[in-house]
Amino acid sequence: MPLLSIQDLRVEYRTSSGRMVVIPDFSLDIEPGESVGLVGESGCGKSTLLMAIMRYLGRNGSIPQGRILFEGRDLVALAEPELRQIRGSRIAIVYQEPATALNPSLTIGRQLMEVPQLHGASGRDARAAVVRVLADVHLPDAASIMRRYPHQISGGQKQRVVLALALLANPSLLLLDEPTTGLDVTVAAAVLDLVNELRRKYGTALVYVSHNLGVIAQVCDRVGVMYAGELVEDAAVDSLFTYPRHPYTRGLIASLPRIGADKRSAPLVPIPGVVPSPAELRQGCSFARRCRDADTGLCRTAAIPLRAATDTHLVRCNRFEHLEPLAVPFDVAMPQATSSEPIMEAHDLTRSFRLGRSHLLANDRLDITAQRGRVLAVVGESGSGKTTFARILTGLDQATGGMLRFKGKEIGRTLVRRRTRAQVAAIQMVFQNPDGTLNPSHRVGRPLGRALRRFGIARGRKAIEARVRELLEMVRLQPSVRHSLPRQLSGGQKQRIAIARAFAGNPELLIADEPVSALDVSVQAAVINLLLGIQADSGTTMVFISHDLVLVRYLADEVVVMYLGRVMESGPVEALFAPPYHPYTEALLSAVPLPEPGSGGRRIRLEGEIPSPLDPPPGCRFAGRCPRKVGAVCDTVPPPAREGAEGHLIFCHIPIEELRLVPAVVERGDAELVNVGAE
Amino acid sequence: MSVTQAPFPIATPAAAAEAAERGAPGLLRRLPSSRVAMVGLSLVLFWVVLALLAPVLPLASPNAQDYAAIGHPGSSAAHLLGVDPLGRDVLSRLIWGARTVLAVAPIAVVTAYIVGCAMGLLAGYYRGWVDVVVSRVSDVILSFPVVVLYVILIANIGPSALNIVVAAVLASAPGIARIVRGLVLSLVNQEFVAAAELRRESDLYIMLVELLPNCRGPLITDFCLRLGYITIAIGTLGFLGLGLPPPTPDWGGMIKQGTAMLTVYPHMSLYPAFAIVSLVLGFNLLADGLTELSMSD
Repeated sequence: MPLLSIQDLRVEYRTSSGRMVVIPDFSLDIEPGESVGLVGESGCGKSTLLMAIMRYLGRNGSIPQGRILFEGRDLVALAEPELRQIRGSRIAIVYQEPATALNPSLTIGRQLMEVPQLHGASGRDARAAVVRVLADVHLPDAASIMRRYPHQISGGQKQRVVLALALLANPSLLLLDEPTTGLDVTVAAAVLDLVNELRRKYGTALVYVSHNLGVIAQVCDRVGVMYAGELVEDAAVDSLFTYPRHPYTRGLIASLPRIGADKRSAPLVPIPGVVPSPAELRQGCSFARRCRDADTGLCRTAAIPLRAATDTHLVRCNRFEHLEPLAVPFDVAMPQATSSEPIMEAHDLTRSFRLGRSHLLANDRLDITAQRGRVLAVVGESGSGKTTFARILTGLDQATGGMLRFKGKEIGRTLVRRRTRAQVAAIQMVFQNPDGTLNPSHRVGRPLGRALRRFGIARGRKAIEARVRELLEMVRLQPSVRHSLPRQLSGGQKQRIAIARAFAGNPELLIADEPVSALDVSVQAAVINLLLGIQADSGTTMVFISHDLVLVRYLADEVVVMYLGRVMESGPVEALFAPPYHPYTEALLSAVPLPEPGSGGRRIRLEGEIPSPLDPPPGCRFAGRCPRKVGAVCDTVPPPAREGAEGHLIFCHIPIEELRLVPAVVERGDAELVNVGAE
Repeated sequence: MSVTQAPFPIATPAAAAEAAERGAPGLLRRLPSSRVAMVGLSLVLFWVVLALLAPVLPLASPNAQDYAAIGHPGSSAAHLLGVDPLGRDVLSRLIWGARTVLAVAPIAVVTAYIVGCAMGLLAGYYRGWVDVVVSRVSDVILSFPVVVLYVILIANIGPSALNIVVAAVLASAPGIARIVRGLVLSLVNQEFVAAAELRRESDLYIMLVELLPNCRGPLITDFCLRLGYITIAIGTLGFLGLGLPPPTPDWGGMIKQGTAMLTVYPHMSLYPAFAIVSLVLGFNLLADGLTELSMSD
């Protein structure tokens, strides 16, 4: 008997604009101990499904049809007191944001001990249970953790505490809603390992919701792909990633950059369009409108049943046997920029902040050069100083030491207000957060027109209006979009406006600060292609700030890896992704969850978290977490530059010959597009 | 993700049109959907209409004394709500008194808003010493009980409509500044402000065009509440004899004049008291309704 059996589930929300069917008809069985992943873009009903299982739909949500059988009992029919017995003890849930899952005014110990005490354990037994679980989630110093308040521990530790909280009652089903989103790559990798380990140890069944296919491939036995509230594909994890059959799944996989692939060999293929709103009428296949292979007669009339492609592979598509291999939608062939004329040079660039008696070195003696017309990626986890560097470049902040030259002129200590109009127009930025990038009170055409006027690109209403239309066309938006308010646009559309705004003044250097990290993968691909296309056409130099190594591998020409304000390694992208590696780069690479099941490869897991950047030690910044630390020399002496290939610098005490001996972390990915249908 | 909200992050034409109705500007448009706000609005409009119609209504002059009625000040055919101790028609004085309140209160609040917004924007946008000065001055003013502040000010500069406005601005601007400063601090690090700086917009443009419009949601509610506070303050000053100079009809002053005969002829004080209560209630319900509407987004 399955542990959880969802049968013909329908979930609706009442809203001011009528009834929204978020999940029309959903069925799924989960066996005891099984780990099932749910993927799909945002708005596909993944979180709603978890909420329905927990029966936490809120006052305007309802389940008019279907059953959720858990250990033989129908959760839909249960009354609140019985549900409370099940929640937390038999089914537990871990939310995306660990910070909000913990009560800030209670100590960690108090919150953890509540769980066993609620189920009748004595104080001493509860304490023992908590200590045991904390050891299981690798928080060994239980006594000290239990005394602390949530704000006194780091994000990764919080997520471990939340996992401990969920596991305390030894539930038979654990629901995880994007538990590693928002954590740094190395921290997220450690949490994923932990989830895998705990699953084996406790024999808990998992439902793991994520938009990240790589994460799903690492944790799950089986994957359900959700689209518009429907299960469109349900397969064993190997089968899904080797032979994705539904056009939507294939689209998701093709829109992901693959490690080892770059923009010239394997362009990303975005999925056109957006997820339909639950308010829209459904007829036939809900994906038909975005599907390249849709057949009007076959796909748009009757509802599509879930059909078995193999014993372990179900797919909701009429034409899955006849799909064409995915083709690149338009020519995104990127010319190789050959010039090597530096447009921006930073030398010993330093930004320190005084915090009381301490110094925070956000940028510490950076040496970074960007070549005209090329893409320079700056990679690092949070706190590495990437954004500070970007702010100094744009003049939103100023350096406290060293030099920064743009086209030969020193600009490191010139704030944007003291720069010339031409200098300001020449260095523009696309920001990370699509929701903060546009003024919520202004129609989106306004900043575009304003930029044109302020930079003297166009004069007079007519000319400005015409140029705004051109800019919108350039980012592939309808000209009428300029009259919309930001809240009427999707995240991807907002980032397109931000790109248009940045290009309004014909910049020579564009800084893109994690421009797609908040977007769905399918949208990411489109925005990245767009950005790269405009960049290549206009010959603009781009500084691309990111924590996503796969993406960086895909789009960059040169890469700089930063850690705690220092450059660890820099060089051409090919050199960086092959041995010799800096030990930090090596750890970062091995932490990337790849969308290839079983591709664990060599795992290097960093201990602990990124330390405080206050008053750093004189030696290597990475020494505290380095798995290959040489000795005391790492703590006391700044590491020398070791030259790998030409222009490839590694700042490490380990000799280059020894670094060369390390095998590659990732194999060079094959550049073919998803190959489907043929078996 | 919040449990009670259905997760529909992607805009469709229908959803977008609906979304356009939301938010602060839509707040006033959606007013009819809040019953509380509509009750409040009706109370306020009741007095506004009466005040506007005062010259054309068949009322006795508010300052005309009917000596014959002084002996029997209660309700009569000639004086529906009776007369005050000086024989003046209570109904007429109530309605003409509404004109005073409804002229002075909005002027005072609008002026206070201009000063308060300027203080809050400067403090929140520049921070540093500007913020220190604005915040400390505000703290000092806010540390006085409001009534004491009004009494001290008016007692020193003398009772007049202008001085009531001046006192109201001094007493309210720091509170408004504090709200605006908080809102600005939460906005100033958003990326659209950095984007404006990267267009070399002037500080004034950033404060007035980029920042201020995004503060309006909480400010609309606060504006209504403050109209209520000022109405109470004007009443209090009138009651203490620091209101508008006699014989101007003034609700607070009417209550005071009636207190001498409170046990015998309570109507002289009660009607103006009811008037103040209803108008303040109207402003407060309107503010509650607006808050409720902005929460239901």
